[in-house]
Amino acid sequence: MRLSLPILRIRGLVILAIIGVLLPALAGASNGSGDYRGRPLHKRVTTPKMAAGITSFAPTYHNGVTLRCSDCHAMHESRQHPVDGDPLSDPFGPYPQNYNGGKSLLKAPDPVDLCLTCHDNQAGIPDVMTADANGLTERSAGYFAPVGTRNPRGHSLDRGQSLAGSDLCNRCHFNGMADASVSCIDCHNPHGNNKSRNLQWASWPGGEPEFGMFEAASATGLQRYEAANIGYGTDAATVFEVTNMCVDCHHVYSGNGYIDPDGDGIHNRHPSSEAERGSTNNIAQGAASGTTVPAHWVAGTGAGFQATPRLRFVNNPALNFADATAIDPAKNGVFCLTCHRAHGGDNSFSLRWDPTSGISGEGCDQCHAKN
Amino acid sequence: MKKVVVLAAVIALTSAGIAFAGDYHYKGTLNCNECHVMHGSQQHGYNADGTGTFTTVGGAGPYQWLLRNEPNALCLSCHDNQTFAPDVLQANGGTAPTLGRQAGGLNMNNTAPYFDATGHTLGSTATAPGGTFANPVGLECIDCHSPHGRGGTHASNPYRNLYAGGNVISYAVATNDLTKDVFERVAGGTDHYDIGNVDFNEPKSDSSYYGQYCKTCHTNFHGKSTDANMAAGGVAGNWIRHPTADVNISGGLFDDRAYRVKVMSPTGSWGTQGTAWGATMPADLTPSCFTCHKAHGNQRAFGLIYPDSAGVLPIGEEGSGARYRDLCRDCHSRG
Repeated sequence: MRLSLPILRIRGLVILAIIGVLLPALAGASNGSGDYRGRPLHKRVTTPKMAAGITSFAPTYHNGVTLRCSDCHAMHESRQHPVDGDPLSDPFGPYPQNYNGGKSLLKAPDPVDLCLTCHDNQAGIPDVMTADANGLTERSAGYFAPVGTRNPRGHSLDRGQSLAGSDLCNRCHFNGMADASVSCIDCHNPHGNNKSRNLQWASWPGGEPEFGMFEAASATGLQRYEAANIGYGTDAATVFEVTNMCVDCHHVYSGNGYIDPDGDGIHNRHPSSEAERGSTNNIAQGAASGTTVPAHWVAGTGAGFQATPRLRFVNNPALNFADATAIDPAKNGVFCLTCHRAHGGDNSFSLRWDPTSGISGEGCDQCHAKN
Repeated sequence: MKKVVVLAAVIALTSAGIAFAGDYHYKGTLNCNECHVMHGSQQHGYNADGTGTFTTVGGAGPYQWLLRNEPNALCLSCHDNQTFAPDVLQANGGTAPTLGRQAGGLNMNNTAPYFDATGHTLGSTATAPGGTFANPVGLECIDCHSPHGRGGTHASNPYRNLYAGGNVISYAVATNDLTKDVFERVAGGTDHYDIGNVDFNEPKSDSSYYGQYCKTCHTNFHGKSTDANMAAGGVAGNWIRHPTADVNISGGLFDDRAYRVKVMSPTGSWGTQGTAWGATMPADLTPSCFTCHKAHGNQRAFGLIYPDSAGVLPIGEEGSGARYRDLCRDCHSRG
């Protein structure tokens, strides 16, 4: 019997609904985690050993002895006094402290609120939102707009972001990336993971490799968050670009299959170095076709540099700050942070330059020198 | 093909005539994001609050070279029926120059009255008459125009960003320079592209760099009076194809016409349109491609310009008359 059109439509919807429910469930089952964490997004199945010659990446707070339970958790939503020599007042205020706590015994109703209690407008602690209480020249990751606002200048930070089941995926899929928001703990492991900045794969916390983000040896304290004291590198084998974590949500912006689908060397999307998928690049590669001008990049003046300092790059290979900051078109690769700040900034798309400045080619022409 | 467009382009184009004498899409007006998009999608505009318009990414994207659309569709998103950019396709739906567009209008899809026979046809895979050039994916705007201008490493930009190749069509703006091939009287604004504001110098008496440019595709139609493809046996005067250089207009009716088609002048003396030369007509005026054809085309076969028989009417995109013979008779007195 032939089905009438309305019935076909209904069946189609049912099938789509089943696919929507089953696919995440199956994926979750595949990694044995019981929930959907995006193993399909990454090839790695174990955390690699440190690269040869690398003894440790710069330690970040919330690790080892600096992973202090009471920084974030309170057993009974209140605390009468400090312990172990803590100051008499902290970002939560003077004692006695009473918390409007949240799940997991958190001292705030949402992880975002909890993180920002310390990481917003507190001198001596990295400030990730709006103006910098520490007066750094340029925070390496930039800064967020206020919580709960749509932020065209970077990631939109918001409360209530779930990682349960397929919720991470569904923030964009079926809902649209334009309206998606993030939570601090999507990208940062609140319990520390001994990676730079405690960065993690949002789709698979704990599966991430070492990230090649190197701090200048001379940088201490908050200077470790100063952009000028950060370099980026990879060996494309054991230490990956820090932007390897971006893939978890921005799947199609890197990888040869996405940037050059037909493999003819003419890009459909701008290259963004991603060693995990074998898609590294360097500025010198474009010289043969005339798309890049390596000498212009080395010179660092003129078109593209008029109002914008030299953009960030990822060096390959580089496993320390000195190597990671060396100017060499044959090693300097373009990656997400070349053009964008991770948290956000002043400019649309979190760009490192103002696209409305009226200076044509700003940023782009540092490599391309078309003007 | 009518697309949302880049606000920056509007702003830049509005001021282009003031800030940038000459053409758009090079040096200070080469704005990457007008044509390119980095990741094949765009969620919001370039203003810090996310507002601002931009050319939407075509439905078949992402496109090669990070373009927002296929080249012709991308160019036409601004260059067809928009008030802020020259309209180059078929009838002018944008801002009309006083006398019309110097280059006329392209055709596409054999659409009346701009049939395929009326000039350059976007998307055509045909071989260029007189040559061997053909674009297997169809004729594209960027076959002739460089979307990046000539680039910052060069001292001068070619006229209309035409691909330089071996011959740069040079141009002077506002103040004529007889060493340049083209003289644009107005640096910017609507009349920058007006027929009345473009004239042609003749820096070399035996050549036309404009013609040399056209020769890139229409190979056999151009050359000197002693070239075998132009004159039988390479003997000067034995023309087998109409000259596009290396000849001067003498006698005939050209000096009687109040309104005349375009010619090259080595002295920058084109007379005053509306006033016949009479006996004062220089003896060194030379026809070239643009004398008879609109570079893009018009509503006449071959993109020809039809002046009126008496030469008393201003010559617009189609000319001022209705017969091709009156084009010939602008110079030749037969008939």
